[in-house]
Formats: sequence, C-alpha cells, structure tokens
Amino acid sequence: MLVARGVIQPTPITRKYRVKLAYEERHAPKVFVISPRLERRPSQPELPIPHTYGSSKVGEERPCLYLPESGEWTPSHAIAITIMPWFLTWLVDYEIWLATGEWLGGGAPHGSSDGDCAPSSRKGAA
Amino acid sequence: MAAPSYPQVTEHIDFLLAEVAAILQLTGEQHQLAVQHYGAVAEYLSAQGSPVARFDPLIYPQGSMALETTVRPLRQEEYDLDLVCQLLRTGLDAMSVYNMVYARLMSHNTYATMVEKKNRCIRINYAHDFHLDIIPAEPDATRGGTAILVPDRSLVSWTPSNPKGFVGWFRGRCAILKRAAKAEAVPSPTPAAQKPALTIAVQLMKRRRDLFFSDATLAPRSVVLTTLAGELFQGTESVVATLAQILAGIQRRVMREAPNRIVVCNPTNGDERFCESFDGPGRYEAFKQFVEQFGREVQGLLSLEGIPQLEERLGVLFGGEPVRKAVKSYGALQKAKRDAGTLKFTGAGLGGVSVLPGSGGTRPVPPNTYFGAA
Repeated sequence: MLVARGVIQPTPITRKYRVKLAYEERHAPKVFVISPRLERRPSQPELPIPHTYGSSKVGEERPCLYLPESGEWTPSHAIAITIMPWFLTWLVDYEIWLATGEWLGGGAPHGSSDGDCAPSSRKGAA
Repeated sequence: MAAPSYPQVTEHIDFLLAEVAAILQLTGEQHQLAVQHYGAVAEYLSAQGSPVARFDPLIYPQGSMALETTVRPLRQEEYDLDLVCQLLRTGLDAMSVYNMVYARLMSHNTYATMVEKKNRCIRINYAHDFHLDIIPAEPDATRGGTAILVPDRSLVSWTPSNPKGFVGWFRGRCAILKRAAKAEAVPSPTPAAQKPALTIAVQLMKRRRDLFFSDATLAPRSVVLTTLAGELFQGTESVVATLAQILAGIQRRVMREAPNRIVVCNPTNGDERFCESFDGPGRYEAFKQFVEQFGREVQGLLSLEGIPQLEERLGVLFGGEPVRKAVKSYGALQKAKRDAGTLKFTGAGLGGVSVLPGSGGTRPVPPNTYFGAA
C-alpha cells in the first residue's frame, strides 16, 4: 500500500488542502481530504456533497474522480498525471458548489451514493 | 506590468470582478435598442415641420453609455442613459431651447406619454429597459472645441458642459495601460471582455456606492467617482490594484485639501464643477466614509481563503446575485477548458490548474467523468 500526503491548492483563490492519496496495487486509488474537512452547504445540510463516495456519512466523504470501468483510469495510468489533476479540478468544483449550490463540473451518477469504493476496485479486491 | 506588490491571487479576483461588471452593464441588445430609439428621436426632431430641424439636431451618447461604465440600478429596472441633443447655435435663450425640444417631443403621440421634464434633460421612459435622458445643447462659442452650453431649469440659464471632451479624456486615461491581451485561445464561455481595468473599476465603484448608501441623496455622483478614478489611475492591468490605487489616491487628496473639500471638475472644462454635489448637508462626510470603507474592503479581498469566503464577501460588496453568477462562470470556464482539452495542470509546489490563462503549468488534464450522485 502506497500512501502519499501533501498540501495542494488548485488555484490561488481556493483553500489550501491537506490531502492523502492511498494506492494498493490492483485497487482503485483513493483520495482523501484531511483538512479543512469537506463540508455540506451550511444552508442545505440535508444535501450530500456531490460526486463523493460515502456521501451519506458526514465527515467520511471522499471525491469520486472518474468513471470506473470506463478506461479513464486503469492501473497502467500514472496517478500523478490523472488522479492528481482530477483531484485539483474536483476541489475547484466543490468550492463553487459550496458557494453557489451548483455543481458545474459535470459527472455521471451511480446507483448508490454510499458505495465505499468504485466497482473496478471491488473486482480487483475479489 | 502588474504592480509587483500584488500576488497572483489578484488575477483570479480580477476575473470575478470583471464578470460582475459585465453582468451589471447594459446588454448588447439593450445598447442596440437604445441606439435605435435615440435614432428615431433624432429623426423626429429633424423631420420636416419640426421647429428644431433648422438647427440640425444631432444626438450622441454621453456619460456611462459613452464611457461603457453602465451599471444596472439597484432601485429600479431601467438604466439611465444620457444623450446630448446638440443643435447649431440657435441665438435663443436657454429656456426657449429647452422648451422648443420639449414641445416637439410632446407633439408626438407616443413620446407625449413617455416624456418627463428634468432639470437639464428631457427624459423619455422606455419601461423595463432604460430612460433616455436627452440634454438639449448648443456649441459654446466662447470656450470652443467640444464645449457646449446646456439649459439648466433651476438656474433658468445656460450652464457649461463638455461631455465629448470628458469621454475623450477618460478613454485616454484608460489607455495609459491597456490590459495585455492574453494569447491563449479560450473556449466559450469567454471570460469578461477585455475591458480596461479603469472602466471596470469605475463600474464597481458605482455599484459599491449604490449598495453602500441606503440614503441615495447622500451618494456621490457617478461623474465625481469617474473623474477621480480617471485622475488617480496610474496604469495597472489589475482591477483590484486599480481600485486600491484610486481609493488610496482619493484619501490622500482629501487629507491634503482638509479642512477644505476636494474640487472635482470636468478635466476638459474647469467651469463645469462636478463637486457641487458635495454641498448638501452630510454629503462630503458620507463620501469620505464611503471611500475609506471601500478602500479597506478592497484590501481585505486579498486575504480571504477559498471561493465560498470570496463569494460571500464580494456578495456583500457588490450584491449576491451578480457575484453568484460570476463565481459560476469561473466554474463554467474550468469545465469548458476540461471539455476542450485545454486545461493544464502542474504537480509542482501546491499544484494548480489553469482555469485562467498563464497559470497552472503545462500538462493537459486528461478527460475524466466524476462519478457518484450529483
């Protein structure tokens, strides 16, 4: 298991985030926001954060960055040039959602927003 | 040549500020409609049988429409657009000229229902879009050039003006430093048009003024703010830096002139004193307070953390609705660039993505689809 930690700031007007990336061979990489923690919109606390795994569990959300089994990411892709830039753009979209209530980053829905990991990683774990 | 003391964050705040200004200004369609309408007015004034016709009336925009500094008013739907109806020398007295133009408009079935007498202009109301404030004028033979004389009903006499000279002066001030054109091709939606920083700063000063003064009678006139902005602008491509420069400059001038008031005239006609509007009780004090507070507020923008905080703060300064739209266009811009494959990133330092040109590294962000409930 590979774990990387660091601080990232997607653009000069976003916050700086302490983040963690965990990668286990043949599993999907997982990204975590350590601090400041991801939060729901104060004016709409019943609404989960869009495009997150574990979105029903406040405090345990983590970004869903790509469509599993679509080929957008496979173990042959370098994390540094796929997962990392997607993490950056996701954080920009997250802040804009937090500010305006609108998710402008696009994306695809999945059946359950509570899935703890993407289908591709489940397969890998089997 | 951005002021070196301003960090890179200003470029991104500038984007939002330029968007806010663009959202608040007269739309392209409204501008065209106004041009059509005042063209029709000019035609009616010059038509056969019109007593005004022999003075060859020419209507042209002045003020915010000519300066491209329009700002949607807070308390009404309609923009105020100022137009000069310039005649040849009439040899008549001021009130006769005013009344001649007024009478001609009143002889028109439609205009008669839309026209309203104001102190210096004849207002034509176009509901939901704008008022056209038509100022009768004739050349000022004494001062020459673009100087004109305008009937003033409260003075019952002519008053000097030079709106064309003022527009030329302001454009010249804007051009002391053109915002550098960014080379990168940007997909739609485009960032706010590359307007000069000074023009955007004036729009934002006017907007902040509208929100700051709950009592509009205390508020400084737009022409006062525009003149001071033009005089104190030192040339920077950053809107934030321009605002900071202007507001600090006004405060220095206020201190230098104390206990007297600062004097604000038309730079192209010293006899046209804009600062008479400071005369009312409490108005100069209110003006000083406004400038001082807005100066602090602009400085404060540089130390905020995160888009939500910035959105909230800018919303207080310029209004929630235009600011929300501006923040969304920042997000829409990132998405458009992702879709077009032109968004770049860097993994160096804190990382970064090139939502705006010139930042965020060199490597393209590969295509992806966020997963999970939206």
